[in-house]
Amino acid sequence: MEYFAWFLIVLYAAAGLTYLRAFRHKSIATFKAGRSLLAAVVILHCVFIVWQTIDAGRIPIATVSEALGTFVFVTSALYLGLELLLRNFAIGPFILPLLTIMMLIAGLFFEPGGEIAAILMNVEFEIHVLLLMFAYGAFALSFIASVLYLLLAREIREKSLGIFYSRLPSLPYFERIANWSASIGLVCFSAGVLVGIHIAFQVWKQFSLFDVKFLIVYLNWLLYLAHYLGRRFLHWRGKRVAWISVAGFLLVLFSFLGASQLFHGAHSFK
Amino acid sequence: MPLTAFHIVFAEPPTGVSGPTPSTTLLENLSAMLAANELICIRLSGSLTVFAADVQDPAAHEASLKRTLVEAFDLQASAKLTCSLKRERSAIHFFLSVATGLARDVTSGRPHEAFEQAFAQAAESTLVGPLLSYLHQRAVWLYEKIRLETDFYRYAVQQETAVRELAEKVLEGLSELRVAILGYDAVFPAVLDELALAGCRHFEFFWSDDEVRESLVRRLNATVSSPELQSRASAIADIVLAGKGSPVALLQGQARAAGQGGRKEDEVLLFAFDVSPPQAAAGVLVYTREDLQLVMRHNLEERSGIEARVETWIKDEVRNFYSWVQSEQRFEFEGMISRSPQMQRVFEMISRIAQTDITVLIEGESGTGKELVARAIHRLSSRCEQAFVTVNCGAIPENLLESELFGHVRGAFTGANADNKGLFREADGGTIFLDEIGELAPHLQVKLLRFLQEGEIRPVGAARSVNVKLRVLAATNRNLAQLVADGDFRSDLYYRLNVIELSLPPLRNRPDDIALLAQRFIGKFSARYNKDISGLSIEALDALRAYHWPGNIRELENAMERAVALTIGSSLALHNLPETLSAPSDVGESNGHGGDAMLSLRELERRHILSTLERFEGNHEAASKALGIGRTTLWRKLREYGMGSETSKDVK
Repeated sequence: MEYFAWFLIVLYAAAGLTYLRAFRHKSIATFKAGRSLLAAVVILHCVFIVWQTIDAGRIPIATVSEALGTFVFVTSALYLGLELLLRNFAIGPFILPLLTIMMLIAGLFFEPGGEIAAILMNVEFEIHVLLLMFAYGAFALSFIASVLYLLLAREIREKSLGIFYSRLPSLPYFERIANWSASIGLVCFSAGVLVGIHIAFQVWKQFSLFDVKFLIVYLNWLLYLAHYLGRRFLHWRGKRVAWISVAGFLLVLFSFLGASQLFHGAHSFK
Repeated sequence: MPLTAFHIVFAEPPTGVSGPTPSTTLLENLSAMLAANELICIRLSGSLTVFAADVQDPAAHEASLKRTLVEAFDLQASAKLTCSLKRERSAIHFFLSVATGLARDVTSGRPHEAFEQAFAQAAESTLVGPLLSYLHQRAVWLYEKIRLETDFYRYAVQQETAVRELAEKVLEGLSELRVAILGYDAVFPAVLDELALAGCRHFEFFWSDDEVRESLVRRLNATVSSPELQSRASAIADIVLAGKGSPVALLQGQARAAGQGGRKEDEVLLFAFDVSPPQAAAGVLVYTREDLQLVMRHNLEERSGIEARVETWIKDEVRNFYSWVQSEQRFEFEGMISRSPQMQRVFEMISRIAQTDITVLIEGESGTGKELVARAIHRLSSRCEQAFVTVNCGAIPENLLESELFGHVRGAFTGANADNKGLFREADGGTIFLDEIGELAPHLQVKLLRFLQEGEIRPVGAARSVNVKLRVLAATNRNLAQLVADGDFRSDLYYRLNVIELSLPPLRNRPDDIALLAQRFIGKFSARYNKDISGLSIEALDALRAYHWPGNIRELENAMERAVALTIGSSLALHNLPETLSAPSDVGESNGHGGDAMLSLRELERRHILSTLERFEGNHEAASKALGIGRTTLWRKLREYGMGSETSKDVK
């Protein structure tokens, strides 16, 4: 199974490199080759997750390695869907290297069928994590779109036209993707957190809503809520919302990867 | 020396002249002055280029050319004009570069479109001959290749396209945006046209007191606001064009107004042409003329990689041109030969559409070369490596045609012992040519329509449809529009097929081609029958020209084959031609109607067919060969005249 995981990592890297090469040379044919490769990786990754599920008798989302792997799968599938829908390759060269690095981290900590806490073996928990996976995947897309928006806007404002000006579509295009993804992410995130709180009330008798990791999650939720409300009611646009999206995703990464390691509170299952 | 290019640059572009084409009078004067057989003249941003064929001693004409232009454009005698001369290969190279928009020194908004207008003008003045036609066809083909295979034409390398590019990069939904115009600059008309092309609909001029601006207002259906309202221009506009006459303080005020007007981020694009730009203010993105130059330079640098590729294609074309000239194939196009303007237009159209996947309907009488046209389209397309499948819809019995075309599965009907892929699937990835499409049965018309709409076919007896990717070319020698009107052909299929219509003129309408084609066939058959015939006698040529060629080129080919086979000596004489040609009046006389001048062409044809059949004792094969038409055409004509059954006595 570990070999399969490494094979997937190599394939993700190959797809990422193909997208980067296509971006460099503005080659539609290479982009299409990259897309075929990505589609193959997504299918193989799906097979891998099914294999892990059968092997361990649960969805592979309990350990950091498993969760990262599943997150990479969900995000790449979301991206592939977006690319097929919009017929535009602009985000691929940036999101795929990010996913490859995450997949590499997942591979380094890979432990098939590792022991997990008993409370993680229930359906409600799986729904909680899967909802959050979708939210994080959408936030990742929003993050990349926002970063590209900022890079392109900077080139246009400073009149130092470079690689992004020639190869990226318009600012409104990235703004739209960033906003849609953030809104979809916010819905999944809210639902995921609510399910999580419900599990917490059931599992822990002495439960505090003010655990460090929970506080980071609330902050995250508030950021994306502000992102939505600001756009909806205060006509926030452009760089301001792009920066909120970037900050939001960095906080997601921190809560996802770092918080459990740094703060050993209730939401730690070691 | 086939082609010469005179490229004249004006130190100060002539005023009051617009558009890429000079006047027809100037064109005719130039052609007379240079004594050129063919000539085309194109005006592009401050320059004028004349391409002329077969000019003797071009350098001697430079001074008189300049004089003619000074007079034509009403310039002062001291006006500075520089003329550069290009000959031979460099002239051909320059022609293709100008026509495809690659030439940098004549870069203007839309070089290819400008070139097309100039070519149409030259063609109208009958100044286009085989050389310019050939070069034009190649330029069109090259342009399509560059357009389809590269991003070359997508780069903004002019001020107006740079403005459009920035607007599209920064703003959303151009059709809803407002464009405010303050002051004036010479580039405004081009910029505004470009923005209108990009979808902008709302233009507002903040003053309009001269003719140029007023014509712009009319053209763009713009509104004109009072100058007092200028201060609010950028508060209500998304794109502001500021030219001479827009005060700096005013622009600064607008920048502030935009920043305070509830706008956030880069929501107003302000283009300042030769006016001091306002200082940066929140909500306003200012681009000056120099900044636009920066955008253009950046795009040119990015494009240079593609230019190198395109340059090699042009060099290949220049090489091809010389092999074309040397091989004396001036009137040839992909195996077809003609000097008629109608056919030259067909050749040009083929070059234009070959690389797209568009469906083409080829119309023309029997024997005019419809299949050759279809083959040329296939050969010039990106599918040329794939299969080219020809189906004669009139030659296959109706009950077999469906399974022939769409295939069948085993057991679909009695005798279907194995799966059959069908011709559509055989042609997958390539081209299918459906000849005599007018003969297609109604239920097959439905199936073909379904394929054209959905891209899928269902083999006979199969449970599910199969996707097939191929290009459909159809041909007919009947009037499909009439068949549609009579209800014999589905109108929806007709419109699907008739996306592009190529109409091939009959040979009798191309008298110049008769000698050309006859000579070609003499060469072909002389080689085949090991004869040494160099040409035709004058009488024979006159007879060929006098004949009305109902069987068109096929009939001419058969007549030449027969004549070559019978000729003894080096020249093909009148008596070697078939009787119908050497004594055309025999057609009527043999039927005893020699004096009847009121016979309709249809009746004459009917009687001629009948008499030919009688002569060959009802043998369709021999009769169709003698008539110079296909067997299917003969069969169809017999059916048309109601003579189908009694004359059928074919050789099995």
